[in-house]
Order: sequence, then structure tokens, then C-alpha cells
Amino acid sequence: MIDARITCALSASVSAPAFSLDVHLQAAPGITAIFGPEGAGKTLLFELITGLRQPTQGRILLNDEILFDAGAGVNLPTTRRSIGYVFETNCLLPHLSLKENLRLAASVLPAREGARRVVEILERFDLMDLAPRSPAQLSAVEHRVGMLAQSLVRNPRALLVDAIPFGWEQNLRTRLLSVLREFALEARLPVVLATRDLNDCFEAASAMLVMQHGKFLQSGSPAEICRKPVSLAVAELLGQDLLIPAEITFLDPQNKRSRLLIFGAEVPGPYFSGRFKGSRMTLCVAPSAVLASPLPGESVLPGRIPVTLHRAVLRPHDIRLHFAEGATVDVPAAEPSELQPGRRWHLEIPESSMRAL
Amino acid sequence: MDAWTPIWTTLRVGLAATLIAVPLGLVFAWLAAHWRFRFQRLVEALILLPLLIPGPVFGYCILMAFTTTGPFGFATRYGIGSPVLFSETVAVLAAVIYTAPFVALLATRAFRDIQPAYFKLVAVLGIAEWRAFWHVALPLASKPLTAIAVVALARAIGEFGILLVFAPSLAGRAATLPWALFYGIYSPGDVSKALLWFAASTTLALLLLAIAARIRGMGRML
Repeated sequence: MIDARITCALSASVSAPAFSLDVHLQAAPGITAIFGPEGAGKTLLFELITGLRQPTQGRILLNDEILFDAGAGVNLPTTRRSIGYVFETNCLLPHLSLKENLRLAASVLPAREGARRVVEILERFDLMDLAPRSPAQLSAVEHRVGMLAQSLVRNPRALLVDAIPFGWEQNLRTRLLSVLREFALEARLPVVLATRDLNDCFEAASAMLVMQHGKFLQSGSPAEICRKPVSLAVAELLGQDLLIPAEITFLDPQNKRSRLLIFGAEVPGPYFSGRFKGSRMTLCVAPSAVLASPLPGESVLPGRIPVTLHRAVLRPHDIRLHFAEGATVDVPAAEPSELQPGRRWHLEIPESSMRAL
Repeated sequence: MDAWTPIWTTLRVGLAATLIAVPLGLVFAWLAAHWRFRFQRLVEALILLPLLIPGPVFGYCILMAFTTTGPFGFATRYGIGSPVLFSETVAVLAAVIYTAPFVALLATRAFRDIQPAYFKLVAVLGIAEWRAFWHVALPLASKPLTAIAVVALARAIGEFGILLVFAPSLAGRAATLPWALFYGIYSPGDVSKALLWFAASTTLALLLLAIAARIRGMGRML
């Protein structure tokens, strides 16, 4: 179990603007995913936890052992923390073969156990054939798996993985994630995976944290977070839902209803407590809940929102419609005449799917 | 003195000095590149001092330290003084003092050129600092370091500033090439020997530079 409550303030330098990180990370055995865009501070966080950098303030505990405590002046050096860290870049030692790289990592264990562990890991990750090759002779994927193997060889007490690179095919990702999950379960290992890919979170993570600008915006299970993003920033980062600007034109607290102005049309909506008439907000709507149909004539049916088609993208199983007002909706099928840019459509958003952010 | 003795002496002294100065210089370079400790700047300045202070001044300080009234004067009473100071050992010592800082200076650059990611990697794997030196720094900088060692040999051979102070008492016991040249110039009739030694010195230096240039990494070193 990792428990890290730390802050780190970096002053501006030639290569980077000022950055401040303030998080409380709790990672139980199993995979915890940290989801965030580039520059969110995921790598910095990992460097702080492993001791490569020192936090300004705070405390880091690993299974109740204090690794760092600013107040008490404790700062265990990196070499003694026993936390595996798979970097974002591939850097197995180039002058050693894959097997020698693993042997070097295992040298912190007693000799016989180290040798046994190296063989065990090579088999587990299916790297036996690649063992005598030097890193330069490995493909990017093999190199990455080798790095993961190297960090697991010596039985670390926790593992930090800085992203599975973008270029990987889905089945490779899935395989790697399932191996990680197995390890995490067997060894009761807290694994923290930094990722920019939401699929990784769904595939493997039991807990998820959304990170931006050095802070955690939301935590929970991946499904919870995606169903109910807690703020506009989170919803934007997740990119799962439609974000539609709306203005409240009428509020009826007794009947729990309201009327909203969306893209120039007034539609009924649920009651939003804590808001007033005239306030603007962003509605967060699951794309699958929105119904889009082409406008038969010029007239607009009540309760529907008229929009103008900007572009239609034909996909294998549906058609993605991009509207000029900024909404994107998928429809199962449509006539070619309805897909002309400039064609008028209307959207129907069920009240039950409207969430205000 | 025959013409060839100084040449062999020079090679012997130079080689011995290089074998000592290079590891010493590498250790200094490693400490400078990777450790942060108090008074670090002061220690670095001390290590670089021999490069900046004229050789004879250094030699004079060493001599004074070993006289009976100096801080190491007790050593003379135990017989460590004169035999050491006026023999080949002092030539080797002088060459080490002259060369080790040079190696440290160049090797620091070579170590700093290694990608920091590798050091982070071994730190995270739990490998202690000195093992990181052995397993990462030395192998990854091996080309530039070999070139540096070759040039260090050339430099050790050329040392004379410190030795000059001890030279009068050496009386040929540690007649390195520079010593022989220096005294050769002042004795009439030794012009041919002097020319031979000049040619030998220059050839040796050029040969070593050529070897260093063939080892890739020379460009980065300089």
C-alpha cells in the first residue's frame, strides 16, 4: 500500500514554466491508474515517490514504512526504497544483453535466488529466446517488456509504470495489462500505471485518479468516474461525453422542472438545485442518449434542438455527425441526401441524461 | 649517459604515473559528476590546483614539506625522505600530480555526457553508487575514457615542472627525457643526443595523439 501525501513546487526555469504539485495518492494492492494529459505531472509524481526528486513537503509511506517525511527529516535514498519504476523511455543498459540486464537487477538478491528469479521472469514474460540479444537488437515492444521484467525481477514492494506507449496494438496492450494484473494479484503488489489512454483504465485498473496540472481532480473506479465526471475539466479530459452549453430560462422548484435554452431552442429539463434563472452551465450528456434525426421541413418540433450538419463521417457500423454548433452524435444510418453539409437536423436530449457541470 | 636510457626511463615513469593517475582521476571525476556534498566547490578547486599552479612552485612546496623542519619532516628521520625524494619515485609522483587533475577534468565531461536515465535506472533497481560507477559509468564512457587515458600518458611523459625542483639532486637517477633534454642543452658536445631526444619526444607525443584520435570519442572529449 502506497500512501503519499506530498507537495512539490518547481520554480520556472529555462526549459519549463513553474509547476506545483499537490496530491494525496493512496494505492492499494492491485492496479491504480493515473489518467491525465501530458504535462499533468505524472512523471514528476513517480520521481518523487521513488526518491529521484525530493518533495517540498509531505510524507510518503510504503506499507507503513516511512520513505520520506519532510517534518521529521527522513529521506530514504532511492536505492533503498525497493520501488520498481518502468520509465517512459526505453533504457536497458546498452552494453549488456537482456539476460545480463536482468542479472544486474537481480544482483541485489542472494546469488542462487537471483539466478532462479531471472529464469522465472524470462519464462513468465516469454523472453527466453530474446535473452542473449542486446537491447539494440530488440524491437520497441520487446525492449519495453524487458524493462518491465527487469523491474520485477527483484520483487519490489511496489511498481510504478509510466505509460504503455501509444503505438502499441490493442491485443499487445491487453496482454501486457493482464500480466501486470496477475503480478499485482499474486504478489499483493500496488501497481500505479500512468496513462493517457482511457481503455487502459477500463481494462486493468480497479481504481483510477484523474490528474491535471499537478492535482487529482477525481478518484474512484473507472466506471464511476466516466459515468459521473465531477467537473467540466474532468469531463473534457475524459472526452467521453457531449458537453453542451445551456442557459436556464425558467425554473420550477415545486414541480422539479426547468426550461433550458440550448443552441437557440427552448427545451424542457430537469430541476437543477443551486442554480438560478439566467445562469449558464455546461450539460454533460452521454452521447448514446442523444437522438438525432433529420429535420423534415423548416419547422422545429417542440422539445427538439435544431442544429446544422457540418460534416458526416462514414464508419463501419454507424455514421458520426459533426454539427456546426459543436455537438457530435452517432446515428446508425442515414440517407445520403441527409448527410449534405448544411442540412438541418434536430437533437432530442432526454431530461434524465442531463447532468450539469 | 647513453642516448637511450632517458627514453626508457621516461616510458617507465610515464606508464607508472598513468596507471596511478587515471584511476585516481576517474574517481575524482565520478565524485564531481555525481555527488553533492558541502565544500564541493572547494574540493574541486583543490583537485584542479596542479593545473593552474606552475610546476616548480608545486615541487618546491613538496620539497619543503619533506625537509626536517617541514610538516612531513618526521618522515626523513624514518628514512622515507631522501630515498623517496631523490629517486624515480618522485618523478612518478610529480607526473601523477600533473596528470590526475587533467584526467579528472576530461573524465567529468565524459561521465556527464552519459544519459542520466541510465543512472536513474540503476538507482531505482537498488544498485549502490559505486556499483553504478563500475557497471554503468565506466562501460558507457569506455571510448572517451580510453582516449583520455592515452592522452594522459602523453601528458605524464611530458611532466617536468615539478620535477625541475628535484632535478639537480637526481644526478641521472631518474633521468626522464625532459630532464635529459634540460641538462643536455647545457653540456657542450651533446647536441646530437639532444636532437635525438627532441625527435623521440615529438614522435612519442604525436603517436599517442594519433592513437587517441583513432579511438572514437576523441572529438567529444576535446
